[in-house]
Amino acid sequence: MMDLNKNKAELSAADDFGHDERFSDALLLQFIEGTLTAEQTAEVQVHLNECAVCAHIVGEVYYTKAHPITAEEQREAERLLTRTPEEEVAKLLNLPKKTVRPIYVPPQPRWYEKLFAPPLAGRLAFAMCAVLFVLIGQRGLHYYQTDYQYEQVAANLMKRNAPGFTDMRFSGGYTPVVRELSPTKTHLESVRFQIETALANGGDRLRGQRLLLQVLTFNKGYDEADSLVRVLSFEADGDAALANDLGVYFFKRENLEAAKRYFETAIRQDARYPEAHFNLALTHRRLGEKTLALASLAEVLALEENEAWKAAARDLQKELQSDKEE
Amino acid sequence: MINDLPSHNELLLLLAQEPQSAEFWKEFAHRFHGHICGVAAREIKQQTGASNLEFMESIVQRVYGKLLQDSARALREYRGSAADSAYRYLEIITLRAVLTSLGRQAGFARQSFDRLALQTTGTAAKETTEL
Repeated sequence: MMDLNKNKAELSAADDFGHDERFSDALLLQFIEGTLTAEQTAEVQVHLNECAVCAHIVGEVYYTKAHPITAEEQREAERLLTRTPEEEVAKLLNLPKKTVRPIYVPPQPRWYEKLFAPPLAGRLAFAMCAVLFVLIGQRGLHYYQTDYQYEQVAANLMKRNAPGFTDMRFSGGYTPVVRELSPTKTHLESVRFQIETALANGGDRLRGQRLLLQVLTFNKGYDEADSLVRVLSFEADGDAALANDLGVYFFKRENLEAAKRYFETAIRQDARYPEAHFNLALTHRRLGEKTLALASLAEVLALEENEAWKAAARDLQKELQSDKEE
Repeated sequence: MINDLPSHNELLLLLAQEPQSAEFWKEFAHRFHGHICGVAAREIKQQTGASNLEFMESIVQRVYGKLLQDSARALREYRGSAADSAYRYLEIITLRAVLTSLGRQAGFARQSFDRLALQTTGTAAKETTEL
């Protein structure tokens, strides 16, 4: 407890500024923070009634509590000074400028380090995930609207197109199936819709048109396919699969010479194309060119990897050989 | 370099123990220099109605001097109870530095001191008479 009467003799120890040292700044702080005893508080209050400086200080501290010094005010004040805080400290401690080590500088992360530290890291991860999600979603949607539709058409066609082992083969790697489904109007319409959807959404034009040709050929929609064939025939020279499908179309329309030309075109484009060799063999057979048909079948047997189609080629070979012997 | 950052109260305690530590003073300046300047600038403007660069520099220097004076007595006496007590303490010291500097010229502080001294002298004289 602070005893004023006991410390009267110490009054002479008042500091340079004429202030009673007993009411130190530390004591005023405790008074402001309310950590003094009731008696001490009363004594300080008496002092405040008498000391204009202390009273003013206490009033100012309360004012600052309500209206804190802003960062802007601090910067403005610091800007006015000619000495930096470091120089102030150096001067204070009488240290030569050069020997003052950089004492404590809170490490400032670089801008890219901030990206990988909280709180930006979480936001960045979220943003990246969102972007990835959108990109994958867009890609997935595009796939669904184009390639997926084509694949559905091809799968549907394969399901229904059950070429007997002596039937024409479309391009696209269809495997022979035992089950046979008859073409239906509904099937044709749904396929057209799927292809048109894919084309409208930026799907591969040639692939879509080739699939449509296959479907129309399969469904015997020759008249409908006619205009498509005219368009596609200009591109057959650079596409073995297309040339093969055009050959199939003409074969089905009983235009065997045209079919033969297209199969030969396909083989010119890709000599290792078993579908075209197989179809050419069938065309030769229909034209009565059995030797040529057997030669084409020999090519098929050499190139074909699918055992079912190999078996078909062997069956046809046997049939032709027996016809030839007869 | 200070690895584990001390609290404001701990920093003032550390400075009280090692008042010549440049490392601690650097950290002190990093945290409180702006506040001291801000308080000084605000009070000078309030008292004189204008900013005064030279006066402000002398005040800032005075505050640091006060903290180091008598083997850092002001720091040793510091008893902060709250996390931001250090700011208030430095504000008190800064305000007193401004007021006493001005008071020297205008007799501002002297007046209250004189009143207190007069009262105490009177009491002492009374005691002497009783003896």
